[in-house]
Amino acid sequence: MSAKFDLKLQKDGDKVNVTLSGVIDEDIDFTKYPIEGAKQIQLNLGGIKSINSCGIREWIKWINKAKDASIVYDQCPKIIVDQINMVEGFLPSNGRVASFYVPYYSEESGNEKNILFTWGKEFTDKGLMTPAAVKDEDGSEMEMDVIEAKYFKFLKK
Amino acid sequence: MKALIIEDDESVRSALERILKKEGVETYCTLDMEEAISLSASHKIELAFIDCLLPSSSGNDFAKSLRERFDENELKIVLMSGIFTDRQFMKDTVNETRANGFLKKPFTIEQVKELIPASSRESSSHGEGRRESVVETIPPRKALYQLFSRIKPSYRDKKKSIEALEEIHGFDLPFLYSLLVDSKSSGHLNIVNQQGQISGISISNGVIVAVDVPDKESFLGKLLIEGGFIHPDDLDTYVLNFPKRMGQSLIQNNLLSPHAFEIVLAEQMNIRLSKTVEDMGLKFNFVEAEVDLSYPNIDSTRFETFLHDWIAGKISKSWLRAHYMQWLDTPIGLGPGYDPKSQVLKMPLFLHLENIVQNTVKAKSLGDILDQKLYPEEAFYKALHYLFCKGMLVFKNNVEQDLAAAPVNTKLVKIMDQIKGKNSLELMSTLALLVGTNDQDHKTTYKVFMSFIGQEPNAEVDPAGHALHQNLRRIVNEAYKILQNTGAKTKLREEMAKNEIEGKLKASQEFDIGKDFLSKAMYPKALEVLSRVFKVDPSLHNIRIYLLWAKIGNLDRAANRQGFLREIEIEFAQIPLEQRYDALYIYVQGFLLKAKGDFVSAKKTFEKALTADSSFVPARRELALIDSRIKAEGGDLKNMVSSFFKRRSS
Repeated sequence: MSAKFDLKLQKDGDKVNVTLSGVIDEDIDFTKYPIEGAKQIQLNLGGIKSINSCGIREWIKWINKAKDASIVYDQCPKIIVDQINMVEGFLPSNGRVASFYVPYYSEESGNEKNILFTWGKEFTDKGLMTPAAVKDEDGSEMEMDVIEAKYFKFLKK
Repeated sequence: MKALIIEDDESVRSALERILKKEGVETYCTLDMEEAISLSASHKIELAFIDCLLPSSSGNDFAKSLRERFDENELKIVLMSGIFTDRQFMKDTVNETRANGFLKKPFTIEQVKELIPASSRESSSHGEGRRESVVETIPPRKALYQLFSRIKPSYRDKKKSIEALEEIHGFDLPFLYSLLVDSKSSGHLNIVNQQGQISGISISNGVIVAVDVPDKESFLGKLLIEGGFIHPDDLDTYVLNFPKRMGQSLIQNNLLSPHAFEIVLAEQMNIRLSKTVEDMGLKFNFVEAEVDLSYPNIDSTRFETFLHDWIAGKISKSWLRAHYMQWLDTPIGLGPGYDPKSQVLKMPLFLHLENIVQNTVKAKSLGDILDQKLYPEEAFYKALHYLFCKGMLVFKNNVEQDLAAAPVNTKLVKIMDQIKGKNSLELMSTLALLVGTNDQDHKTTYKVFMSFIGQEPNAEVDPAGHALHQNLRRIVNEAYKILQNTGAKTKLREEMAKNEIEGKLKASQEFDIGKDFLSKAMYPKALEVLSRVFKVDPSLHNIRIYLLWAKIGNLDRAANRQGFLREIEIEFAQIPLEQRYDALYIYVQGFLLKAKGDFVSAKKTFEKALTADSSFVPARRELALIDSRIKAEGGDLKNMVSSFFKRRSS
């Protein structure tokens, strides 16, 4: 397996836990990681560093093999949220997002931080419940560093 | 405290929500009158922000309905508008609706905070030196193109401008690529077109190292065969067994040299990158990542040539005209990328456009330089676009000035000219390009456009301008109304699709007739037919090259031969890169050389065309004609060369 990509797949009955990290690109052979037949699939995506267009196509082909499963995307980094928002089928109709990262930025200090939004806490089916105040290590106030209408679009689907 | 927001523009609504929430105000949003009244009662709303221009009703009506139920002490009503902002209108509207105030868009955070009663605000430490910021309602696409106008846009400025975009047009890609190359970005640009096809490029420190475009015509195997590097039988074996690493497998089995592979890979990259620049809307995102530098690649020097070719050959004049309308009244200055000694200014696009940079920056505005008609319009727009993409020219004014009232008549006349004869869908698409929006339901386009044209001139002071303004508003309102009716919109789309198909079918048939005329050297008829075909369907394969062939054939009939020749040469520079590889293009190049009297080069070029396609009859015919001419003049090639040089030195 390429050092730039890692996938750990654990089966527990008809539930599959998958932890991915690294780069998703044309070098990934997802056929090595069969997910057909699983009833529940939990994908921990927190370690994904980048994805290119080849990787997006390979991902969609792979995830569509589990049409009968209930799929959960967990700890989605911004690059994954961007693909969910842009590409039809990146998050399949039988999938949902359990948690995702939102970048914050402080204009005063120039610091950046990613805050994890979790279903039931920072967002539900009714919408967002954003944290009251986010501060960096220096105590400077931070603001969401995304275009909200665009970034949170997938929550409306 | 609780506030109600009645605003259909999502960016304004979310900005307001953000500001209010930071002050501890709970917000509710709706566009429904009944719900607004119900929320105000049940949730004890104390503050309401209402946009004057709503899609299906008037903000004033909302305000009046709420005021009928809640007096000024119970509910503070603030009306908002970016369009109707003159003092008298604001005063009259506030009086009529018994609102408490009026907020002009774009507004600042402080302006919103001032509307919240101090006692209702939660104290929040802002820190010293917190900057007031204008809530931007400038379309992100327009903001992107104005990036170079900032004194020193930081890497973060550029990154955020790109991130703010959701949808762009394929013809915006050259600018976007230029920005990524110029800012030495590293990462992956992922693109999805309207058909859902996913493609992308990878860039390493400003160097394009990979182009991923699913395209059968530039399939590696096909290019290897066309280049004569491998036999089709060898290809079949390796495609089946090693679809992803075919090149490497061929090299390992000594069927292909690494050097040849690199040449073909470079050609594939060139063709596929050009194919991304297409006439359709698309979505994209940029994933920052460390990307290794690999070969072949397209560095900034090679990229300049590509940029030139795309702008010259792919971006249409109508797109450029609509795109630059929004800056018609804006003066142009030298940008951070300007260098008077730059080789860029010697590229074919700038051929015959003498002193274009000096004349453009000297002019009062873009509209002014266009009105001077110093250059052919299409050539000027293309050269200008290139200079803007490279940051060599910038629009001088800042964002607020672009939205301020400006001399209206020139703008309106040009807009009317652009929308003349267009149906509702085409009209709104043109306006979207003009104001830099790209929304499916046309609401944002409509609002931004209305803001763009501002208020109508006073009828007594400027009756012509007043009439023009009213007429334009009426046309746009009618078109917008039609498109809000889903049934009517669908019917219009179907009609357009049917007309397009019928038109293209007819054009395709006429195209064959035009080509036939060319093959018989009937150049005037060929030019007439092909010009007509080009207007209907400029996407027909190689139509531009056939048209050039017809024009060259008519060179001797032109009243101004030199001027016509100049136009032909400018148009040659606009042929897309991927169309320059086949026999037809090479042949037409030879035809032009012959028309200019350079028979030596013409003969060589015709021979090259035959190498590319040995069955290309026109090239054979021209070679035969040149050979006959040589025989008639009683010399061989050597003599012809001598006489050519003699002519040159005299």
